[in-house]
Amino acid sequence: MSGGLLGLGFLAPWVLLGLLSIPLLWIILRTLPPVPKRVQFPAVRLLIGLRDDTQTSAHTPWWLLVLRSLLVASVILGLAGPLLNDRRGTVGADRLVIIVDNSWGSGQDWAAMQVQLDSAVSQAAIAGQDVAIVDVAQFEGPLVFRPATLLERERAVYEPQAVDGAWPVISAELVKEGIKDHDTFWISTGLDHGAVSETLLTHLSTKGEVTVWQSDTVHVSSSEVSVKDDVILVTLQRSKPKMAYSSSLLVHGTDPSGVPVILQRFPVAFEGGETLKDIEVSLPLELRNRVTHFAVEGQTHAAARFLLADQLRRSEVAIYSATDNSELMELLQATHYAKRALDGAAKILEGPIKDILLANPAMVLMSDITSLDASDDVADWVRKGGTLVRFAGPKLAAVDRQILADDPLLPVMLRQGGRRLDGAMTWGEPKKMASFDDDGPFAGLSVPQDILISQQVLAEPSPNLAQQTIARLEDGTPLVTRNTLGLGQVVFFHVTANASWSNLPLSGLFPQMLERLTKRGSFGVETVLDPDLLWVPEWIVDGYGRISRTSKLAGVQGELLNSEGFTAVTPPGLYASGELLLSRNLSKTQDHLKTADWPRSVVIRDSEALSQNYSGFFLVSAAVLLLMDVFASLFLSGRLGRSLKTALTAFIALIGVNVAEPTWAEADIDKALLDDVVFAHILTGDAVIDRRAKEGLAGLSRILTARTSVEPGEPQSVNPEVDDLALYPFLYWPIHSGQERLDAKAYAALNTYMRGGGVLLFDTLSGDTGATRSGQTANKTLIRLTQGLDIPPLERVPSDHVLTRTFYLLQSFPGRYKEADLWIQASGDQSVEQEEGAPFRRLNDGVSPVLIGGNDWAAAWAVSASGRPLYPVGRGYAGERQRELAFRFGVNLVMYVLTGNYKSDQVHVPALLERLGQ
Amino acid sequence: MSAVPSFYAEAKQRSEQSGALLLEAERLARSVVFGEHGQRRSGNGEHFWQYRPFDEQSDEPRMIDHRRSAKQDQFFVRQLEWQTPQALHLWVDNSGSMQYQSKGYHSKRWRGAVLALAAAISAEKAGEKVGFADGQLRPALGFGQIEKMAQLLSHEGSDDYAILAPTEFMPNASALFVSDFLGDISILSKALELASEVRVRGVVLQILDPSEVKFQFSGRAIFESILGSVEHETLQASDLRSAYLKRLSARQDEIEHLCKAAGWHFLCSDGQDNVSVTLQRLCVSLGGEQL
Repeated sequence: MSGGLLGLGFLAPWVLLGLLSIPLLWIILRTLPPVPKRVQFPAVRLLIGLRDDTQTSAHTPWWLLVLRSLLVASVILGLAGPLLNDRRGTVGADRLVIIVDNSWGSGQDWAAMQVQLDSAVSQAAIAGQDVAIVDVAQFEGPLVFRPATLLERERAVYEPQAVDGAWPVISAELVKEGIKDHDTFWISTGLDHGAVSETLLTHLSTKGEVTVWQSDTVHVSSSEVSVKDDVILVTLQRSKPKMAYSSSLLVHGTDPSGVPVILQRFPVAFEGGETLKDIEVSLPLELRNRVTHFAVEGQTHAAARFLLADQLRRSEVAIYSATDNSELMELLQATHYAKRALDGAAKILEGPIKDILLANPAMVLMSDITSLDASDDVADWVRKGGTLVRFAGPKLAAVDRQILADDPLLPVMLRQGGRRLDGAMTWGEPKKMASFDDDGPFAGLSVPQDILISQQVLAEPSPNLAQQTIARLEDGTPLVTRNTLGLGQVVFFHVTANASWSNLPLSGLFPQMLERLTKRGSFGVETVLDPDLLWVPEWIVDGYGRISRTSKLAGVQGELLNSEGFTAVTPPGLYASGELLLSRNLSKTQDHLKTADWPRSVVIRDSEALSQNYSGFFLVSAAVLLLMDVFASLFLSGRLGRSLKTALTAFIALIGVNVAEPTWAEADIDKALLDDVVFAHILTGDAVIDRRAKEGLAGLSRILTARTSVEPGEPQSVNPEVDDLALYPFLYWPIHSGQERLDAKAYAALNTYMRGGGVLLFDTLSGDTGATRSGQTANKTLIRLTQGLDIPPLERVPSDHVLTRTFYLLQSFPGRYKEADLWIQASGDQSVEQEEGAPFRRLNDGVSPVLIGGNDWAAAWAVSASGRPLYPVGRGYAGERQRELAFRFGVNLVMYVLTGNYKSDQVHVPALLERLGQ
Repeated sequence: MSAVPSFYAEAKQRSEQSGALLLEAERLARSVVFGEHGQRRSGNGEHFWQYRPFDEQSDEPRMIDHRRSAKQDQFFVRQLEWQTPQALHLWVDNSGSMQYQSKGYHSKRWRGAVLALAAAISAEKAGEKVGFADGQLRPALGFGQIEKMAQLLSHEGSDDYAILAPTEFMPNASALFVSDFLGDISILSKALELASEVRVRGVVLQILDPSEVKFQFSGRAIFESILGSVEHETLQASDLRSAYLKRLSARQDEIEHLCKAAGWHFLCSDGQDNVSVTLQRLCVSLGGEQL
């Protein structure tokens, strides 16, 4: 059966006979009484023996009858396989080639194309045709015809690809000898593929009927991005020029924290007939540095994207200064002016030299560094194209020339001492700068006359000194020298980076000079593709124009990238080779955006004329009706409430099970540890000492709760090899001679802990950290155990250390013993003098990561549950006093750990002076 | 091992329940007060009864009331009225049918227990002994007794309908029977008989649920008792309504008749009445006063 009104037909019309059963069903259902509901009723004894007046029961309600009839009708109709637009019988040949163009332009209208593909296959299945599908993006041949029913079941997935399309393969395969006659259905993006498709079409027309469906969407391509002065020019081209089209150009980038955002949008309006449009994108420098790619709103294909490598990116500059404990004022700091000069022009990194190099900056600035611990790494980095800029300074001037002679990271040999031009005892005067050479990096910069150099280091004369000098003084003395090293360069300023030797850093020239040097350091823009270089795709654009990070694709030879267009192996995207970045974009121009022009012999098909099978719809509605019937029956028998409750309980239980199962490690952490301050001791392996340590911390916690606003939780025992230390503000580590060294991982964890602000309190329990006999054994253990820890230089706690006044004013730190000294990180600057009248020096150190003592504090702190001391301390009243002082030390220590140098703030001086009675 | 925690959980729930019961009952009891039961003759008590002349034969000199005697030349002895504490027996049905509750209402057992306990609290405040009539707890004085009763009242029975009648009474005491009396009526008549023998008077309080009074069911249904021991199936429940209501009022008439014969009072609480009003009626019937 086929045809009929509106092209409605059935695949299995005889099933419709089943509809006759509906009246029968109606009658049966009407006579059968509904299931009785059960009602709980205490007075049922009064009902016993009562007779029903009528013997006919309540009927099944009419709406339930309608519901059930509809259900049966839906099932029958669904099984009969209704077809709308039944096109069976209009099919010609018994073979069909479906060409589906899923190359770069298809992402724009893929949903419609997919529908066409599916319906073409299912139609062929209905007609019993054999089908070969040619997917343009990846077709490799040969052409294989398979029954359409099989293909329909397989439902192979085709996705749009950001590739040019395998047209040569396709035309070669389709014109091969021996292919029998077949019809062709061509699902096109609506874009012209030029001569290839033309010859192909003429050939296909000889084989059978060619039908075409084409998408009628407009494709807009970002074909070019260029930078002119400060304006970025984005060129957009589009297909279907007859209609007007408007959209927006989206500037994608990252926000300061690195999250992808749309930075700007610029309206784009193509008039009718206009095919090309230049959009001027002007962005503030800050935004421009964060641009990652351009996109056209509403265009979901790869050609609308234009990825940027680092064409717009400013360079990263790292500033490295030696560990600085000198606590200088900001304006005196060596790197302050360089930082200000580069602010905005470059991204500034700071940190340890090894970390800096990992970030691979374009330029590293160093001020007055005499020896570098990672000089080999730095040299490697320079050889790969980095720019190292060094500044002179008093330390560099004082270093013996023999040491500096071998330093590859200095462009010239330096004379020891340098010269001073403005001293009281010198004859000279501060010198001015000479103007720059025309061929140097600073060419064209004008030199202000008020720049005066009063002190500098001098270069040893050498034959190529003149070559290496890129800025000099009036008298010809080199001021800035440069040497190339591998691909990179080393630049040396013979003055300091701050204003102490010259006022160059104060001038406007200084940032200009640094900027010139930065420019030299940026990579990648005009890189020529070396055929042998291996490029690894890092970000790729897919067929929908989505950009994603990839690590699956293999690296590609530069040669291949040069010769090949865009294939599955070389998709558009961002490629990296070492530090070099390359962005490859489809950049489709007008040649590729022409509207396809089909010959007259080709039948163009409408979207609507699809035959659709509606059996799924009927079967689904039957299922829905069945569900409704279940609920209706339950409702009628009065069991709906209970069943719902059961179902809900089961459902909640199911969810509950899932929720209760912790899937991430954080769930293991005791919440109390996060809520409270909790102290911990490190397990030593000796049960007595471990117990005592825990009791001691518990006692200290009690005292803290009673006396201060710190209310610690239950103390914990930790094993740094397995436990997370980050939860504890300080760790108590009793030392005994039998203790084993921890494993390397534990030392790494402890180092991280100390670096992250944690405090370790070592207690040798010996009452002696000095050099006496008993002290020596404990010290040996201590040395053995602490090897591998980053322990800073130590000193005995000075009498004005902030630890002596964080809560109580203390001068000794007794525990069960009181003789042993307490060692703490040495304060950075020994030169700070005590001011007259002030009780202590103005030091602003951080918290010492380690304290080492031997007074067995845990024993003094330990109290029983009822608050009575557990271990004896001293004798009589003096002993109790000692215990009290031990507690006070504990309180001070915890305050020190928790508040840092807060109490060394000068604000507290008057109050402290008053308490000290001065 | 697991039996212990579950037992503990149940006990805890019980004690919470009995606490709530006690609280509710105390709140109710505040609105009524029982009178003291003066015996109209001299004896141990607080209230003055009479002065009588000192009898040298029988009275001891320390019994002389000197304030009174000083007014005359004769010695007087001050006598107080004899007051005896009375006993109140409670019997509260805890069978399955009492656990029934329709939506939005307390269960029958809760209402019955609250009313009974409130009456007991009032009685205890008036200095009477309170206890159970089924031998679980003999009447005694003191608030501790009330707490014990609250705990016992929160136990649930395992039968569909009450099968044991209250049997233990102190002579001349009063009693309060609380049940829905939907089960076997012979239990009640037997209990009243026993009570009358020892001159116990009291109140029979029937607790019904609103749905038992209204009977608004329809359609095909199987009615079953709470614990499922009795069933009745009907094709059209709405047809049974008038017959059921007739039987219910017949049952109430029968109970009232039994009560009258034994000199008892009959009260009914169907859940829609005001509980404190019911309590006041209850206490008046038991011989208390309205506050």
